[in-house]
Parts: sequence; structure tokens; C-alpha cells
Amino acid sequence: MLSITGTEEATPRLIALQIALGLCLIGWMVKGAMFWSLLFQAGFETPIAVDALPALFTSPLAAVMAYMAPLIVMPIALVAGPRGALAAAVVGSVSSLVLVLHVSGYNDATFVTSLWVFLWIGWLAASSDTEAQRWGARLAQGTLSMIFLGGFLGKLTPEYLSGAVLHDVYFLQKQALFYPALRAAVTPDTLQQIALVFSWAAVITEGALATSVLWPSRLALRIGAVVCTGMVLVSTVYLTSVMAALVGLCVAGLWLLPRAPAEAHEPSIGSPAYAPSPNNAKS
Amino acid sequence: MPAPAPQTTALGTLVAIAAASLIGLHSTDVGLDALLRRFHLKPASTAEWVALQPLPGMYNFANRVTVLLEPVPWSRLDSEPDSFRMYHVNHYPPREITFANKRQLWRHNGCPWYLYAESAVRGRVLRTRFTVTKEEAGVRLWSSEPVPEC
Repeated sequence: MLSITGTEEATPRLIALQIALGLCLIGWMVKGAMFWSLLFQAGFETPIAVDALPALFTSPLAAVMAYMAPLIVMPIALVAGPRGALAAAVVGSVSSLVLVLHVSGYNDATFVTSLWVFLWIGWLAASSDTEAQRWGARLAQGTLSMIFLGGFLGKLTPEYLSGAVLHDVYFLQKQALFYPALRAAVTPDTLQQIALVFSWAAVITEGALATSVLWPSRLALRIGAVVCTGMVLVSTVYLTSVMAALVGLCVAGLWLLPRAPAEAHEPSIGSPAYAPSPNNAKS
Repeated sequence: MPAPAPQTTALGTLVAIAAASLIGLHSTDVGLDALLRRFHLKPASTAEWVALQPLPGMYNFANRVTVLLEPVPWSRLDSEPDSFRMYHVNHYPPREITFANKRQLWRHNGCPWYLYAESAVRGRVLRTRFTVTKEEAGVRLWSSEPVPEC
């Protein structure tokens, strides 16, 4: 099987790179739907200075460059093989870091998830096929686990465990999806009870995924992909910008695992018949 | 099994440090205070901001805000919750000012405006009255006192 460039054998590592980069690109494009006006209009028309942050972190131009650079590099990297992916990972990591520090992106989880996924992509691009297949899924699990740990620990507070925060943020304020209809259909007390269940479900799910580094890789990454997709479905389509990178991480990690016998056409690492070949060498 | 390559060790270590930092920060009062300051754009230093921002913190803490045209003491917000309804936001309360549409509002509707923000986690509470003032080129968000005249 050849890659889309037609020049390089499509090893699991190369396909995993394309999956992860492709999902990151989708996330950044979805982000643009809301972010564009902030960057190109409000950012320049009404720049905001914050007394506690240095000027670099409030420069409108810095935000534009940080957001645009990966959007330009990622499509090229998708067809440029591991070296292109490595370049995209470096650009993406730096850009994500700039944006998590910048007043235009500090509050946006898109750039936090992207930062960690770009680091993983950079690792994958810099590794040999053998190294990628040996450690790729584990590192993806570890990254996923750490990201959900951050969400989980911050919800261990009475206001979340009583359902009060999500009752307000989702069940009272949200104007999209099924929330307005739900508000109209049930009593305020029932709505609070639903919010309580919803809160605990969120806390338990995040807590479980925070431990997923200890699970079998295939299970952890499959559940991770499903949960990240589900979070978009119960929140807003714009959450795709945050979750697409994580879904990409999970799917790419899965792709690096040895195929089950029924799925495999060739021996893979971990199976008795696997033996490194010249095609498995680092590109 | 062969030893991991250097880049594998590096990424694994980085992720482990991030996870350990999260546990450490959320387990101590000093750490929680730093995380609360981060949510209010009031880091103790630029280094603290740079160190904390890459750590995931989606939907952390109970964050409530309200926007007012006149400054009032926090005690009035506490005693008159119906007059000054503080609504929850998922994270980073100053986003109510820094978002694109909100910035335009600040610019075109006079100033100063005041954002009252409260973040709470397990009994630790940080309250900040942000002041938004106009500048020649845009607006400025003040989290410190005193704030210059508009």
C-alpha cells in the first residue's frame, strides 16, 4: 500500500500520523468558525490589554500568526510524510503554546488539547516504525489520561457534586440542542435532579478516563474516542475543536496497535511472526 | 525488550510531570490558590502563567460572574442575590470580557464597566472585581486597584 504521495510505503506509523494530523486540522478549522472574528476583527479593532500579562501575550498579530501557521502547514504535512508531520508538529506545538498564553486563546481548551496532541505527533514523526508500534498507544493513553485528570480534579468540589454548576451552565443557560425543550418540559425540581445525575456522570466518566492509562490499550483508546465524541453530542458542535485532536490521538494510537488476527493481513509487532524489515526503518 | 528511545522517554516524562503537577496542585492550598489566580488572569508572575497554562483545566471549579455599570461592594452582591444574579461560566471568568463580541460591547457602551468574578473550589474562594477602561487603541482589563479614571 502506498501513501498518498505515492512515494512511501503506508506503514501504520504513516497512517497514524495522517489520522492525528487530519483530526487536528479539523479541530482548528472548526475553531475558526468562532475564532475568526476575534482574531481578525475584534483583535485589531479592540485590542485588550491586561495589567497582569506581558504585552506579547496581548499582541493581536501574535495571535493571528499562531493560529494561521498550523492551518497552512498541516494540509501540506498531510501529504509530505514523517518529515512534514514533524515540521507540522513543531509549528503546531509552538502555536498552541502561544495561544494558551495569549489573551485571545487562554480560555480555550482547543489549544491545550492541541498542544499535547501535537507533542505526541512530533514524537511519532521522530520515531521509527518499531518504536511507534511499541510505545505509540501507551503514550496516547498517558496523554489522554492526563488531560482528563485535569478536568476531573477541578470538579471535585461541592458545587459540582451538588449539580449546581452544570445545572446553571447547561440546563438553565444553554440555548442549543435539547436543553430549551427540556427546560420547557419538566419542572424546575426535576431539572435540578437531571443536572445532578448529569454532573455525577461527567465526574465519574472523567475520573474513569483519568485512570485509563492503566487499562488495556485497545479498551482505553476506544472508550476515549467514544467519550470525546459523546461530549460533543451533549454540548455543542463547537466542542469539536477541542475534542477532534483527542479523537485523532485515540484513533491513531489504536492504529499503531497490532491487528487482531482476523483484521491483519500481515504480521505485526507483538505477534510471533513479526520481524523488522527495511520498510520498518525510520523514514 | 529494548530500552525506549530518548524521545519516548522525553514525552513519557513530560506527560508524567504534567499529571503529577495536576495532582500536587489540586492537593494543596498553595496549589489551589495558584490555579484560582490563573483562572482570574492574576498569576503571581509570568513564569507561573507559563507553567500553569499548558495544564488541562476544562470545566474546573465553580466560577460565577456578573457585569455591572456601577461598582458595588461584594457584601451587596451577597445580600441581594436576586438584584445581582451571578451566573456560572465553565472556566476563566474574564472570558466574559475578552471574548470578541464582548470586547466590542465594552468599546461601544462607555466605561468603566465592572466584572465581578468568583471562583471556588473545596472552600477556597477567589473574588476579583475587574474594571474595564477604554484606551486609545482598545480597552484595558484591570484586576488590580486602584484603577485610573476612565
